[in-house]
Amino acid sequence: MEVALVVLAALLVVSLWVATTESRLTRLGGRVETARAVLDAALVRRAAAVTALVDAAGDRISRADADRLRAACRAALEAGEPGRETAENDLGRAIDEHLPAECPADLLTDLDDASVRVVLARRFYNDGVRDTRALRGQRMTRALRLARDRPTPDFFEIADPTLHSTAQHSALHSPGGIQPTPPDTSTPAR
Amino acid sequence: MRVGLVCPYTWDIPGGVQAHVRDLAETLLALGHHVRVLTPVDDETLLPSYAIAAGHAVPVRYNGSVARLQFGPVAATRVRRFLRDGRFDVLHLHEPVAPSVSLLACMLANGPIVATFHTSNPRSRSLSAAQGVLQPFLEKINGRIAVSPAARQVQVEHLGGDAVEIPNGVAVARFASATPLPGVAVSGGTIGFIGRYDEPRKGLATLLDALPRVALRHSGVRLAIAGRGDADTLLGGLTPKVRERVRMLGRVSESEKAGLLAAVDVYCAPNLGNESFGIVLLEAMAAGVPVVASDLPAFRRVLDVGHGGSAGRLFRTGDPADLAAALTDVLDDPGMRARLSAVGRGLVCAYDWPVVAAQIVRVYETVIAVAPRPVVAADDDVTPG
Repeated sequence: MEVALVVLAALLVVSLWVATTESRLTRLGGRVETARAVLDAALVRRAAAVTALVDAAGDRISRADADRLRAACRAALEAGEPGRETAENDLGRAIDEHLPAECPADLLTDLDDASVRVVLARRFYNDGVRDTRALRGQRMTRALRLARDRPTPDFFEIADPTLHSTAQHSALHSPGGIQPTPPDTSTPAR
Repeated sequence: MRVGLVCPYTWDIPGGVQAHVRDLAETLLALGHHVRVLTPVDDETLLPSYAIAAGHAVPVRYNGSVARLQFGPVAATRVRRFLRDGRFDVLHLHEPVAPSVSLLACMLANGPIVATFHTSNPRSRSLSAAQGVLQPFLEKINGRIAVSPAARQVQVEHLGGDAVEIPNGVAVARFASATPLPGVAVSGGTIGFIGRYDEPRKGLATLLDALPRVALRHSGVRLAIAGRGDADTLLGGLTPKVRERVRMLGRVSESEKAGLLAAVDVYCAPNLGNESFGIVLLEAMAAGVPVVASDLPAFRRVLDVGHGGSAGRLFRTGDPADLAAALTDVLDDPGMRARLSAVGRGLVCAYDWPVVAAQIVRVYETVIAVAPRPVVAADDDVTPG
């Protein structure tokens, strides 16, 4: 009798835990998916801002620079997984190296705004990935194979973009402003 | 945008988090957003029209000091009502790790959630222990903000997450246009100090040691002290020569603080450590006052030392002789004061509330996402997830 009660109680605890964990995994899945959509949109917007700058530059940009930037934008927009991170990093480098020296201030501010949103979206997406992986990696979650039907989300690792307009510099790269992040060294793999 | 802010600490007790929430709310309102604040409060008549009372908070020992917190069924009911009535696009919680209405809101809300972490002084063991219990709730947060690198480090090391850094804001205009508090300024030079002077880490003892050495050259120098503490104990422990130079102002209101900063020739921050942000330095800079501060990483960062111009002078932390030398230099040289003041006024623009609030709005927009859905109370949520 007592044994049966103990077994019953244990089953109850386990099923409660399973239900909670299932709903946490579902919620995290939604969070990561939403964050990824925002990140994708932010990256597309950055490429669009670069294209707008090249279009507006006219003859203030050399043919070679313009071609390089357009090609990098196209490659970033068309890249699928894997290869997206490499293409976005390449676009980031192309922006740093080939942007015309004098750009219309509003378009430059637009590019910087897009870049800052890439930083935010990437951080929030990676936060969600980290939380998801931590929960999936727990011994009980693994033992009961609760996450087996769910895709494992991957971190999105690119270098944080540099900002170009002076106005944005003072506001965002000031001491204490939104800082470019060092690569995640704290990925918990519990 | 409809923004719901949740403040964990009692509204009518002065504190950094409360001031942050108030200034953010007022800045967002001025920018045309719809803002409501849920906060514990003792005297509901003191609440501004945008704030909603969550009830009384009870004193609890937390994180080494007595915090007044609120947690229970009454608070839960108020949180639910706040979420239902507010129909927020985004819910912005402050310090949701302490047992408070912030944490309650985090537990009860579904939808886009942003959280700002202020603390940089973790009792690491209690926080790490709490993390396991809190993780199911903390993982609902879509975007985390830390007000300083130190606060972000707490996230990374103790709460298993990361955060974007957005600094505390300063109401620059309020400080820049303040009328000097009457009777504070003296022709011989006035030094200002604001803070809990009975808290040794604030370093007032170093400043009091330095004062007679400054007086060797500036015989009329005075020190104006504002903040909490027992004035009689402090004055009683001083020699008459030091005591006659000290003016105690007691606890000051926000506007008196601005008036005090407008009246002094130099602001001194002799802290011994543990300072994560140094908001009072920014306030001094907004008031155009040169700063003399301990060589702490947080102060170095705020004053922008080493970036081709500084808004202040640093001295060796805890060294009265070095502090006296720095104060003497600054009081000696009106040209240097003007330069430090000009650099400070320039630097502080990056911390002006409208600038900081714009960065926070970008965070809101990032979590609200491509397909917005409003914040709801958990049991009202008909859609799964």
